[in-house]
Amino acid sequence: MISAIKVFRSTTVVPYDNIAMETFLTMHVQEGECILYLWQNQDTVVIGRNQNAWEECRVQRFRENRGHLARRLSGGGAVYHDLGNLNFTFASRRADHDPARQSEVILRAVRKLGIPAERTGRNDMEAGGRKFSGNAFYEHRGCCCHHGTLMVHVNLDRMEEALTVSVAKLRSRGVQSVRARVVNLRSFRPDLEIETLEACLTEAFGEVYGLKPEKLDSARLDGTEISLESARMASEEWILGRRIPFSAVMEERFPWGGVRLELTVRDGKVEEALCWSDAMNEQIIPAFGQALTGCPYDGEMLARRILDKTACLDPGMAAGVSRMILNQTDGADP
Amino acid sequence: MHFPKELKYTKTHEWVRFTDENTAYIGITDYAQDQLGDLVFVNLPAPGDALTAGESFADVESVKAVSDVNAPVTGTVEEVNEELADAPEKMNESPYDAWFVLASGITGTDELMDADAYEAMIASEA
Amino acid sequence: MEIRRTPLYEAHVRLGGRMVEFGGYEMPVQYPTGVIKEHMAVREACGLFDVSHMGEVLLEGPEAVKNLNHLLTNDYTVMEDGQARYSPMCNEQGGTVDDLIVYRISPERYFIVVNASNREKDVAWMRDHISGQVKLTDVSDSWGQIALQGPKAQEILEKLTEKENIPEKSYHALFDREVGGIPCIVSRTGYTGSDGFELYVPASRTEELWNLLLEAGREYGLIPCGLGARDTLRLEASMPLYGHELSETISPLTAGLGYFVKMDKPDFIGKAALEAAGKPAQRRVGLRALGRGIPREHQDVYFNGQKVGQTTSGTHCPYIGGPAAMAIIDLACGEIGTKVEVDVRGRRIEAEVVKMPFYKK
Repeated sequence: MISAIKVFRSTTVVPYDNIAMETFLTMHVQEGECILYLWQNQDTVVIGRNQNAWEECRVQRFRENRGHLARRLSGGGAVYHDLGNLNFTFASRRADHDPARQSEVILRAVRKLGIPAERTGRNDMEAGGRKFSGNAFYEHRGCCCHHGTLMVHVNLDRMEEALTVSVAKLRSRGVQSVRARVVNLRSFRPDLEIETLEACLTEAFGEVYGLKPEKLDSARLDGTEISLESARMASEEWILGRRIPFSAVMEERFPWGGVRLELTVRDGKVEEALCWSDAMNEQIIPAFGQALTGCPYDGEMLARRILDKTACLDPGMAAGVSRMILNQTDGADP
Repeated sequence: MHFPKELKYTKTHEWVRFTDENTAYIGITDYAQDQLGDLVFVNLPAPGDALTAGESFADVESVKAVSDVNAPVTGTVEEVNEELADAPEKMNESPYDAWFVLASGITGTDELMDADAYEAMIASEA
Repeated sequence: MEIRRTPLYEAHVRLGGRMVEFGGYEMPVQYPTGVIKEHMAVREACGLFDVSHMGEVLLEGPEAVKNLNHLLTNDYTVMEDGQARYSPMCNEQGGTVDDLIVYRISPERYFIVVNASNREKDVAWMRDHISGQVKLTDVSDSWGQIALQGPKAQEILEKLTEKENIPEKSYHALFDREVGGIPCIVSRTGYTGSDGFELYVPASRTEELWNLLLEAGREYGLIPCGLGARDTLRLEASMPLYGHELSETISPLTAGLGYFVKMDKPDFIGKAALEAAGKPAQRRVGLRALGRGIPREHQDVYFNGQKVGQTTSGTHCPYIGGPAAMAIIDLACGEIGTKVEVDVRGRRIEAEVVKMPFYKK
C-alpha cells in the first residue's frame, strides 16, 4: 500500500545525469512510497535498452549536429526529447507498482487542461487519435520504473530528422512516419507551458493516491553513486553497445517488435551472439543472445535452445524467435 | 522469493514480526503463497481468541484447495486484519504486509527460525 | 500404473508449469501466471490448453451407427459429416461409464473422444459391447490435442489458416485440414463455456503447433493455461466432470443430462434400468454461497436441518467473482431460489439453489 508520495524535479537537462538520477530513485525507493520524478533533456535521442544504435538514428550526423545520444534501461523504441518535452518517472517497489493507477495520474493531469486524453494499449497515451506520451517499464531487484514522454511543444522537424533512418526502413516496417502518429499538447492548448503541466501532474498525483505530495528530501541522494552511474550512461560502451564480428544474421519483424540476431560462428559453434530489438520486454532480448552462446550452429538445436532458455520469460516471443531461426538457418556453416 | 531478515519463521511457513518482546504480527511467507497459488479466501479468528503454537488458527483457500495456517507462537489475538478478508490477493502480492493477526502475551517461541535457517530449510525441501 | 507424458511435457516444464498427476498423465495444473489470470484470459482474450491426455477412439464399419446407438444414450441416426455430438455412456444399471463426444467423419467412420482417466475402461467396455460389422481402434497415442479457448480464438486461428479450414458452427469439426502447415482436425468445441477450438494433431507435431499458436496469439493476450483453470472454467460454465457429477453410480438423469438420454430410442445399454427407476429422486443443482466461505466437493447439503445431498464440485469462480458449487440433492429442494446450508468443514454456510450455468457467454 502506498502511504507516501514524493515529487522530485530535475535541475539538469543533460540526459546521462537525468537517467542516472532516475536509476538512483528507482533503486532506492522505499516500501509504501511512490516517487514522481520530472525531468527534461536537451536535444536527445534516447534509444531502448536493446536497440542497435547504428540502426535507429543517424548516429554520426545527429551527434555532429550537437545532439545527445543516450540509451535508457527500459525496452522499446527510440524517442526524441527536447525542452518542449517533459519526462515523467514513477518509481516504486514491485508490490506498490501499479501502471494503470500511475497512468491515471497522467491522464487526469492532461484532462485538467481540457485535453481529452486516453490510454491506448499498454504503452501509449493519445489525444485526438494521436500519441502525446510513449511509456516504458523496467524492473530490477524488486524495484519498478514506469516512465514516459509528454510532448508539449517538441520541434517535430528535428524529431523527424533524428529518428528517421530511411524511408525504405519505414516502409518495410509498414508504419507511418513518426510525425504522422504524434501530437504536441500545444495543438490543443496553444498557451500551454511545461510549468503548468508540472503543476497539474503534482495535483493529479495527490488526487489519484489520496495523499499530499511531498518534495523528495534531497538528503537521500547519494552524489557519488549518481555521478558514477551518470558516467556509465555517458560511456560509448553503454550507448553504442558491443559490436561483434558476426558471420550470421537473422532478422524478422514481429507484431511485438523487430529482432536482429547477430552470431559469431566458429568451427560450427556459436561463439557469441547478440540480440537487438525495440521490443518492450527488455529482459528477454539479451536472454535470446545468451541462450545461443556455445550452441552448435544447427537450426534445430538453436531453435530448441531459445525455447528451453527463454519460453518461461515470454512464450509467444520465444516461439516466434525460435521459428525465425528455423526458417533462416539452412544448416550450412556461415 | 525473499525472506526479510527481521522476521522469524516456522517450519509450516508462517512468519512473525515482533514489535516488542510480547507482541507480534503473524502472516504466511512468500514461499507459502507461491505454493498455494492464487488465494481467494481467508478465515480469520476473532480478537480475544487464544493462539497455541503449532495449532491451526486460520485457514486460507486458493482456487484449488484449503490450507490451515498454524499459530507460530502461543498468545492472544489482539487485532485482526479485516482488510485481508476483502482482499485475499494481498497475501500473494505482498505476503509480508498481509498480516493476519496481531498477537500479544507471546510465549512458545523456541521453534522459530531466523531467515537464513528458513531459507536453508526451503532449499533442502525443493 | 505408469504415469504417462503428453507430447507437450517438455514445453510445460520449460514454461514453468507446475506438474501434477491427472488421469494417469503428468499435466500442468498451472503456469507461473496463476489460475485466476489463466481463467480470465479465456473469458476475455484466449487461453491455450494441452488436452493431449484425452483418449481418442475410432469406430468404423457398416454397422457403426447401430453400435453407437446401442452403446450411448444419445441418438446418432441423423448426423452430418463433421458434426460432433455429446453423450453419456451408461452401464446396465443406468450408472455412467463415461461421458464423451462422437464426431462423424463419414457415415461409416466415427471419431470418439473420451476422458483420459477412463480410456482403458471405456475401450474395454466398448469392445465387450460392440457387435457385427464394426471395428474399434484406440488411437490415443497417435494424437495430441490442443484447446484454443476464448473470444479471440477465431482471430488467432485465422492468422494461421484459411477461413475455409475453420468450422463456423459450434459442435462441428473439419477433418484433414491444416493449421500453420501442420495437419489437423479443427473442431469448434471446448470445455470452458467460452468460444473456442480443439485441434487434434499428430503427436509428433503437437509441440510445433503449440508454439505456432503461442506466437500467433501473443498480440491477442493468449497465455498457456493449466488444468486448474480448466476446472474453474468448466465449473463456472456448469459442465459436468466425470468422477464428480457423473460416476458409475450417478445416472445421467440425476446429473441433469436428460436431454442427452433419448428414452424413445428402441434400446441402449442402461435404458431398462433408467426406465425401471423412473424419475430420479435427486438431481444436480447449482449453488451460490450466501455466507462467507467456499463450498468444495463432497460436503453435505442440508435443508431445514435435514441432510438432502452432497456437493460434487465447488470452488472460487474468477469471472463471476465468487464461489459456486454443484451438488446432487433431493428433488424436493432443487427449486431455483431454495435456501440450503452446506457444511463447509464444520461450519454451516447458507447457499441458494441458482440457475445453471453460472456463466454463459
